[in-house]
Amino acid sequence: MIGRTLRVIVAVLVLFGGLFVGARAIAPAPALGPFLEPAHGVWSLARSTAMPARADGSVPGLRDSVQVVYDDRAVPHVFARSEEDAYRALGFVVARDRLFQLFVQTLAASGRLTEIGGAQTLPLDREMRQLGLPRAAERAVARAGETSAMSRVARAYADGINAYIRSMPASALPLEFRLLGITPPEWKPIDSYYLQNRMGWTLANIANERDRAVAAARVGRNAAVALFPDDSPIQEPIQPNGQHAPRLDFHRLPPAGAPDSASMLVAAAADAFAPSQQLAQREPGEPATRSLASNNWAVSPARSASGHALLAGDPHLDLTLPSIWYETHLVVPGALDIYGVTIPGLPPVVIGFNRDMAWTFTNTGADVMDVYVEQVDDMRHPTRYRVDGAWRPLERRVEVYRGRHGETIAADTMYYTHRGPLQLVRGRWVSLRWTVLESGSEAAGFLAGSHARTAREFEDAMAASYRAPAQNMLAADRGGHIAIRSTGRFPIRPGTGTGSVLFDGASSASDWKGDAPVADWPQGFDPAQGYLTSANQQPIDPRAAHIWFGGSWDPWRALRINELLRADSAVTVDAMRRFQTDPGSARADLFVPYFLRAAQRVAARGTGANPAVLEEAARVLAQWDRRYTKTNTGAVLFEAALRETAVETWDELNPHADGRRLFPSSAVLLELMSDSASAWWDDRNTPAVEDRDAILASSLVSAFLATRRSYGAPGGSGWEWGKIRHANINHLLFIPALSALGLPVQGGPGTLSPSSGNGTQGASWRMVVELGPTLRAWATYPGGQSGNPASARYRDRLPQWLAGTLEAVHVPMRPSDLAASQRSATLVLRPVR
Amino acid sequence: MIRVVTIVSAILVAATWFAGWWGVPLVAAIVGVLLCTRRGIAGLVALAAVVAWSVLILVDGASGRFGALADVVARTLTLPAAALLAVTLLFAALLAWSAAALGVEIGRVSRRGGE
Repeated sequence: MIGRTLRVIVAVLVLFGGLFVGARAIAPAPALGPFLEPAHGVWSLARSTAMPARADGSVPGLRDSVQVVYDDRAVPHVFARSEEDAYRALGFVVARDRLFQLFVQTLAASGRLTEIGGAQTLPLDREMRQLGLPRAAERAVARAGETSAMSRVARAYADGINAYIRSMPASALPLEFRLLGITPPEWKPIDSYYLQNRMGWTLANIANERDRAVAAARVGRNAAVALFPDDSPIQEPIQPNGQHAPRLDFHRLPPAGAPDSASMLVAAAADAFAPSQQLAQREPGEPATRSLASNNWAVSPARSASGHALLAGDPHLDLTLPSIWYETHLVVPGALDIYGVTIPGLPPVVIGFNRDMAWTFTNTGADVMDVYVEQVDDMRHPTRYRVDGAWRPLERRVEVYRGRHGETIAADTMYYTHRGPLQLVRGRWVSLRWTVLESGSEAAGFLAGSHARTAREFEDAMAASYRAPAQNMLAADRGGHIAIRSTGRFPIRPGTGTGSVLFDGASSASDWKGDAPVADWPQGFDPAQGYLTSANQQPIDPRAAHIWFGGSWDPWRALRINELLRADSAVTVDAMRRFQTDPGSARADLFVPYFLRAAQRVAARGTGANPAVLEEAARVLAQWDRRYTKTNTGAVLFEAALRETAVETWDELNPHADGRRLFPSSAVLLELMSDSASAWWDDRNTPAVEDRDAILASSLVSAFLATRRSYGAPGGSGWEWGKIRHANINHLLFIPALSALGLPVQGGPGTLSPSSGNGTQGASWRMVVELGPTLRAWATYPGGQSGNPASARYRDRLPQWLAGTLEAVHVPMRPSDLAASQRSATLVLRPVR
Repeated sequence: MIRVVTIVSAILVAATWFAGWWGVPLVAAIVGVLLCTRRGIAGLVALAAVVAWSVLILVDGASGRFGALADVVARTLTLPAAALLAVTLLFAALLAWSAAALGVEIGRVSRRGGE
């Protein structure tokens, strides 16, 4: 009897325990019942890891059947009879491969991550909403109207995504949804606008201006302007300036002066609107966002071995799994034939080519974000703000953050002036004006650009619609023309024209006076030099421009690609590919001689603290070939020495009570090299007064000792670059098992394929196009077409990306152009009758 | 015994396919009530649940990427793949055993009430 009672008690406990863990998630584990159950749970996902050889689907709104042929690289070639049908089908296939990415990117872009992450993700959502990005998307949708091309395409794309969601078998629900215990919601056309704004947030917010303001508060305004200049001290601009070599515009840096405490308000105001991610990324000698950059270049027929124009592009962005890009090909006979990459969630092909021309982008980094100090009627609960003596009503908007079950996690009241969102910073209300918040027609530009027949037509189509984030748009065509133009809104400001100040919001005279006209934008068409390059350097020589068009990145990549192209009068497709991962470094070429000469001089003076170590360190550095290959054993010493030099040199700026580290760019450090006795060289922590050579020699010694301590004997395998510097490609949810971490890569800070910081940014897409009678293209990206981590296509392109190789892409004009061996699957989408 | 396990397994496969994981305790409880006089029936139902879910997992496994999936999911949950598989089958077995055991008791009580 007792045994039976005990058995019943145990059975009840086990049953209720099982039902509880089966039905309810206990973080971090999902609810085990639906997760483990093999008919529809996670195990069933194995059934959808590969596309069946032939599949059918139906999409509401389709006018005709659409055939989608997947090639052997898992790229869908969409053959439709109308453009809207093509974008409907694109929505369907993107959802099939990247459903979770669509979902999580949209939540991030619209400030709704709390709906899956709870209060933990509230700061990220607040960032989006306090910048006014979701509101800006709503306004862009309203401006676009119902009938614009972008509206129609966004609706068609949404139709396709939703058709997939509705028809998706339970077994195909992506792993991430299962882990989170949620199902995908309906996709709305506005979601595409959220994503577009998110790209603006990523690319149109540059740190230099904030760093300059913080520096002014520490070492005075004069010094700050010199240490964080708008104009690069090394000029080799995007718009060719007739020079055949970089120009060094070096000036003597003014010494540190009295702190300008008023600048802290400028910095605080700029910080209030800065991406938190950007503020967190600091590395000596490598200011924030240095890796979030890109390269592109084009070669005219006169300088290519084949006699055809060549174009190469590799945008450097956050590296994620799945990748930010999805490769596709849309064909509508007689209307559209476009190949390239889209951002899942954004229908247009962003970078790619059609039958006649190809295009790609780099970021300008223009200053398109200004802050205004506003006068409000009530500091605690403002309702009005004053402009030119008259009160204007503030727009009020309540931002509600919801949890997973719709519960309210937090609510913020936001205010807007005619300029943009208002925030309370250090006891003052400041508003933000930002081109990204006033944009929305960019996708229309891409849609128009995709029909261009020539490079010139493409540039003009983009100039007509594209506003933010401003990009250096490079194009080449089969007629042999190459062109580049920095395209976007470049505000014209009152006063000196700089945006690096706090403007007086009480006066309308502080407002932007318009935008720079297209004729003033940096640009180049078929230049005499026979090639065009951009690598985020200053787009136009400051001697030829009256406003600043951006380019606060170090010029090293630009210098290197210009050097490579100048030296090659018969560029091949393979050379274009090799250049993309070229291990050479203009930065190392310029800095290493200073270290070596300093070592000699200090040794001759007999003032060095550790002469034997200095001699050995100089010997190792002298033997270094200045290349960042994976097996190279010299790069690690140089990087450590340069980092140490930055720390020792910029001691006046660091450390500071606010904990913020501040390092001028390495181009400014090179500028300082020309002044061997500058006061900046002196290390205030020592009683002696150091000059350049003393600091360089001591940095080299410190770096050598630290490197030997960490990695063993010099030149040994421990010093190999590939063992020290890695690419880290995180999954969108930062789940290590779904990420690709610790990948050895070729390239270092300042090389064409840069690898810096934590390795989470880099070349997100590499493409080379030859514009001959029949256009040919090669490409790859770090990841794969499928978002399913168990799919063979999840990360199948990583080995090519790591090796710097590219795959030839298929560009069929009709389905039958793809041989059976080149096909992996066919999907037929039919209208719903 | 084999016949009971086979029949109950088949029913559990169908129940899981059509009703999801809830089908396991439901079917197990019903079998427990119906076969409450049979000695050791709860253990047999648990065995049937393991067989049923193993069959379904084999169907999934026939897709060819099952190993990769098991590896990815297990690493995501920081478990060995074999442990994840074991947890899956153990989960089914425990649900089935406990529901069947309670079903047996309910069956016995109701029969006694009927007598």
